[in-house]
Amino acid sequence: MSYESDSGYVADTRDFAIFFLLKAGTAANWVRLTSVEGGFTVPADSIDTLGGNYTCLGFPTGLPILSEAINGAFDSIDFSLPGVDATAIRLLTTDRAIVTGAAVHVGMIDLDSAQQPVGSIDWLIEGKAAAPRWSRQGQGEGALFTITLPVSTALFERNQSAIAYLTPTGQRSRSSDDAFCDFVTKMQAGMVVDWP
Amino acid sequence: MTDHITPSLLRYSSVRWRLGGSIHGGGESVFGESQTRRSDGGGRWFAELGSIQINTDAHAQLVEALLLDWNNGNDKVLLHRRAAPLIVGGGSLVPFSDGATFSDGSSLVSGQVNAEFAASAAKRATTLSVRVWGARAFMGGEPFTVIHPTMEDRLYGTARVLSSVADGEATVYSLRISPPLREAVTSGDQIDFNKPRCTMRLDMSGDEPWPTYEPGWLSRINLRFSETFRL
Repeated sequence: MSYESDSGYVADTRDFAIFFLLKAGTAANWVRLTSVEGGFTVPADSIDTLGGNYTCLGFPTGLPILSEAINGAFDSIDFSLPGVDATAIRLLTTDRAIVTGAAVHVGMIDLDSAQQPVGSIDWLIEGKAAAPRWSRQGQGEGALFTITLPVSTALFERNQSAIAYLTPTGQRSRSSDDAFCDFVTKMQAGMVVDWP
Repeated sequence: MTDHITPSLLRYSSVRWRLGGSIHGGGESVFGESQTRRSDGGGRWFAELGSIQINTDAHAQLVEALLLDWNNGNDKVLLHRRAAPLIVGGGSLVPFSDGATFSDGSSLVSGQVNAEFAASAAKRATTLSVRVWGARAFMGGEPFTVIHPTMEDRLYGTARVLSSVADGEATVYSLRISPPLREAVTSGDQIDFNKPRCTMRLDMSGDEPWPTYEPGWLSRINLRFSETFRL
């Protein structure tokens, strides 16, 4: 997660709306979702460089979890979409490579009493999408398919450091003419130093 | 074809319309006031038709035909909010087609309310300028329908009458509406105050809407609908 300037988000008005932006593939294919019933068209800004219509999908995630992520308490969030059909599951396996590693942004906007926006979107969370997965509950006709998109924030370190051995050969593999570790093997506990 | 569900088609004994959405709470302050905020940006319509009576074979066949045709809620329906127009007033005065009136100068009277947008409005606008003929003065709370090119028939209601100006035989109102407009409108687009209705889908996930029959073909069912954005 990278904190925007106003990461301690306090809604100024009595209403607000939440926006989700999944930057997968080219800009024309970005996925835009919002909590606003009926969708919301927003102009381009620094995050969503094209702007566009955000589709309503109810609430993909519980708001308390989201606020924990905004406050930096959680290092990853799961966005779940229950009740998808088998076609969506098939497409999930096709598009998994595009989605994995895509940037995910979560932003909010204040709405006034006439449900009109006050200001522009505050983008509060920036994360990276992991590989989406699907699950099934129940069997046959009553089966419920759910797609889950894990999104990790910057607090969760995704990079695994390479295994490093402090041996002459290990150091040669990193830098072919570096003799830094050549005498490491001679550094042993209890070794008697032969002073000249 | 989209079914029109009117109060005369399904004889329900109770109906409940609500503009629902999501409210989120942020805990309680020390003096006991809970912090709640709305996050749906205006909400969407829900309707519950209660105790639809099935007394005869004809009723049973009607309900069964409808349920079969709606494909478990997959097909859209147009649910009408009222049986009769809410705001008939003096009505529009309509002459004969050649412009002539009766010999005493009076015209035919239409019970229909004619209305159009007096100005264009963007998607999600909540303040509209509306020109209305043949209605009594608006008070707020009037339901109406706008037929959008892509979002189809959508239900709105007037929340406040901000101003009204007489314009010949018509009156131009500035209205605040809810929910926000589902699609942009242009000046001159028609507004239907006579048969307010909404594009909805039957909610099959909750109570099973299929009737349970008692002896003598007597049954009552409840149907729940919610506004749909899947077109």
